[in-house]
Amino acid sequence: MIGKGFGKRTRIPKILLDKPTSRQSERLSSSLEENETKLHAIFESCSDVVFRSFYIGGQQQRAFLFYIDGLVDTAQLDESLLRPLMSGALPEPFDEIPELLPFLQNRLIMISQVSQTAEYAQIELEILKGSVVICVDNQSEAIVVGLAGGNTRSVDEPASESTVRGSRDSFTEILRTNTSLIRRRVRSSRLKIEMLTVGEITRTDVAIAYLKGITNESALQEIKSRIHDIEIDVVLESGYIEQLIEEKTYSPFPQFLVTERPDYLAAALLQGQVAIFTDGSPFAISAPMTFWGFMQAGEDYYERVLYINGIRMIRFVFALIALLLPSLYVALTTFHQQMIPTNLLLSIAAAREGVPFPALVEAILMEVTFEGLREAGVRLPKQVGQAVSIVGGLVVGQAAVQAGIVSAPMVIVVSLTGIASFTIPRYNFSIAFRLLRFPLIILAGMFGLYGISIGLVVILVHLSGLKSFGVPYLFPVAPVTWQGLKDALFRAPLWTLYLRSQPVGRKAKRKGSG
Amino acid sequence: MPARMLLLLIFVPLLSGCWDRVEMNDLSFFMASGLDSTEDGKLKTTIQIPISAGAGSGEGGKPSTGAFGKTYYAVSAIGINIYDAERQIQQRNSRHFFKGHRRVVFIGEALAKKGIQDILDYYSRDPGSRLRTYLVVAKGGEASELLQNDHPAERIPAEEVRELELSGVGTSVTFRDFMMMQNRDGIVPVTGAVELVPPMLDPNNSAASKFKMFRLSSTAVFKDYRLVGYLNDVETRSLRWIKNESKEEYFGNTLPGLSGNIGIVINDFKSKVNVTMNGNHARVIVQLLGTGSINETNVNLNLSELSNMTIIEKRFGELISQQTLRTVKKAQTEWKADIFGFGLHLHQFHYQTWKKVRAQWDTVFSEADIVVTAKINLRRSGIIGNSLEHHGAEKR
Repeated sequence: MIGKGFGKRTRIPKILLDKPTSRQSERLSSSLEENETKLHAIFESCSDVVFRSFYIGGQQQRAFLFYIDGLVDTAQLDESLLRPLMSGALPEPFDEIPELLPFLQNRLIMISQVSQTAEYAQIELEILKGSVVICVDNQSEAIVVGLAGGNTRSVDEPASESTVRGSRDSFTEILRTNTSLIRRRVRSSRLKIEMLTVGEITRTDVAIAYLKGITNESALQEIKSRIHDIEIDVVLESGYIEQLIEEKTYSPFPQFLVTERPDYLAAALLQGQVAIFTDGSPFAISAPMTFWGFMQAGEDYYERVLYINGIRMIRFVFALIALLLPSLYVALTTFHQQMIPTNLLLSIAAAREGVPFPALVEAILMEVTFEGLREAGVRLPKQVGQAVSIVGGLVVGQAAVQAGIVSAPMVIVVSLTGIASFTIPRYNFSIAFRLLRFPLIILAGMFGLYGISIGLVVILVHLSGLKSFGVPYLFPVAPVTWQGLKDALFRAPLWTLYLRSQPVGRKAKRKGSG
Repeated sequence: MPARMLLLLIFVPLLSGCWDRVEMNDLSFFMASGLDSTEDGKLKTTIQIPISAGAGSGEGGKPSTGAFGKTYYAVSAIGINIYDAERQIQQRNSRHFFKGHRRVVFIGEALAKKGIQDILDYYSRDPGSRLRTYLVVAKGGEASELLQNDHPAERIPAEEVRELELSGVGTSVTFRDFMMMQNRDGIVPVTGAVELVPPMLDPNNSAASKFKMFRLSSTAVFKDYRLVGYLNDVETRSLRWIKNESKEEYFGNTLPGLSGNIGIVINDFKSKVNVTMNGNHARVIVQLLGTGSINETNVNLNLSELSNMTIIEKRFGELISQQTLRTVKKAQTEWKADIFGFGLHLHQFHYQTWKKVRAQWDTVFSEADIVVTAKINLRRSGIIGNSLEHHGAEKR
């Protein structure tokens, strides 16, 4: 059952601009001048390229090095590469050294990451990745020295996922840093990190990380082959990969965990998920993911069990509020007045007196305004952010009520809904609730509670049919497994959670294939 | 899948006939209705409707009032039946009637005496009305008077009557209760009866004479859908005790055989009814059990002595059984109406006997021997020991 029945592949857009050229197979010549001209031709008008010619060991052996300024650790380049090469003693006679390049590698280049290559395409890629390429006269191969450095952001506190308790580091834009943050937490050779390059122009490094033996092999193979199949020019963020390999593009529900917290990603890996890092993005993605996984925060496992179960309950209640409160309000006030307690009804009726719009229009108006305010708050520079909250909170909220354009209960409903949508721990998951709110409001305005139930049934049907890389989205509640229920709606004490709760895990795989 | 889902959503409106959306500001909520009979035999219906702008709390929590400084208004019309009258009221009222929140229905005394069978049909048939609406008789007056009486505390006066019914101070009967009692064998239905009384006893107090208050003290007895009489407050208390409906009652009485008086609160009531038939003669044994405490005493007794407490318990029990016996006798002699459900007891526990006496139960009940015993258990005597005057210099 599990691992089979992957959804259909979404169409992958082909926007190939840069056709592979003939230089792909072209090799270095033994003439230093020729190589120099060729490299200059490749990097023509690239002002950030640095070319430096020198003599090895003060002898007549000419050589040059080539790199891109800013991508390379220049201090180390000068100290550990250029200095030994230029001042290091070479045995006499110089010409009698049989293999010059291995000799240089072994004796003079005091840098750990060194390799040899002869292809221009390879050399070009290495230079672009931040390596230093050394060409020596009369040699038809070049030495590639990994000296990537330059200015990068340091590991910071997570900006979009904060916790009270838990580690304070977060992923950065550098893929290596990110994988190292994971490796630090999972000190196991089972943690495999495979590298791929995606993007014809950007040539972005993409790393697939998983725990061998724990992860679901079929999901892993599927993820790998989907990433392999991607043909796209530009990958700027992990979101590109996510959208190109997810199964249901038109589902409001996300199928990937998106996180910038290494501890949370490590937990996902240990549950058997497959993580994907994208160079240049501080957000790692991971799948297969379930509905309940999105309702959990990393802190759920750090804090004590009673507190966390209370918090989880609040989260589920507020998720329902985020989804349903405005539509329930519309349905109750326009269709089912008998369901509201009398005194509350009188208060609402008094507040609604003089409001020009029907409750449905009022609700949509306020919800759209709220979403607009939120969007403005996210995009605006920090300096102007306060203006938005003042305008949004005071002007729109209070003034609209005083002017009699919207009723005060509606403002309460909308703000409560807004707060509720923030309690959903995963940002990409809360988007689904914000989105589905609107069709539900319209249904409620048209058919009352009947419409809401229809809407909920449609959502439920969709959720039950949804799969993330072969794993049913509602697992372990539907299909139900007793072991899995220990960590879905509630979390059992840690010592009872010795079995992996996700079907992607080894135990479930055994169950599924057996 | 999304396309299929969309298709489904498109079909939903076509399938449904449920287009009954009404905005709240197009509704007028019935808070209470009053029914009276006119002299020419027609029905006068009065409706109490909140003024929305006034009934809820206004801006900044300050109460706001409607056009005439009121939070509600009352409308009435005369028709051949309730719907006819309501139709006429609707002609004067642009907002649709909404009866789901009606709290109380008042029945004028004249109408109650004439019979309320026709009215009950409407309240049980109309799906918009709730069976949990309280049914109250306007004692000694017209229902429309009660609907126009301002209450100093409640914004909607009918709310006060509902709260009174809920608080357990008197008989509280909803339409549901009434119809259940009516349809049961061996019990005669009763309802609460509310009258308007001045808040202060001094009639010249001008501030207090501006409004009247609702008083729920009596119980109206309906025999064959007709009001036949009332039980007063003490009799109501006995009735409720026998029917096991009391929750908490205050008693302030002079005890027979003791000088002085006492105030007792009873908060645990039990009653046990036993009906035995001897031929056509019924013998009813009512055992009352009450647990409570003494909260006021002016009796020259040392209450820290257990024996003295026993004396009070005994005397108080005698008083209660006398009161109860008087109540039962009243129902027996005045109306021949078994409001206590003794017949129901027979019906439930001695069905074969009941079948024989069912037809003439009213007569059997009126001739029945009644024995009432009351056992009172006083657990506490307040936070002081003896009465203060017991220690004082001016001993009486």
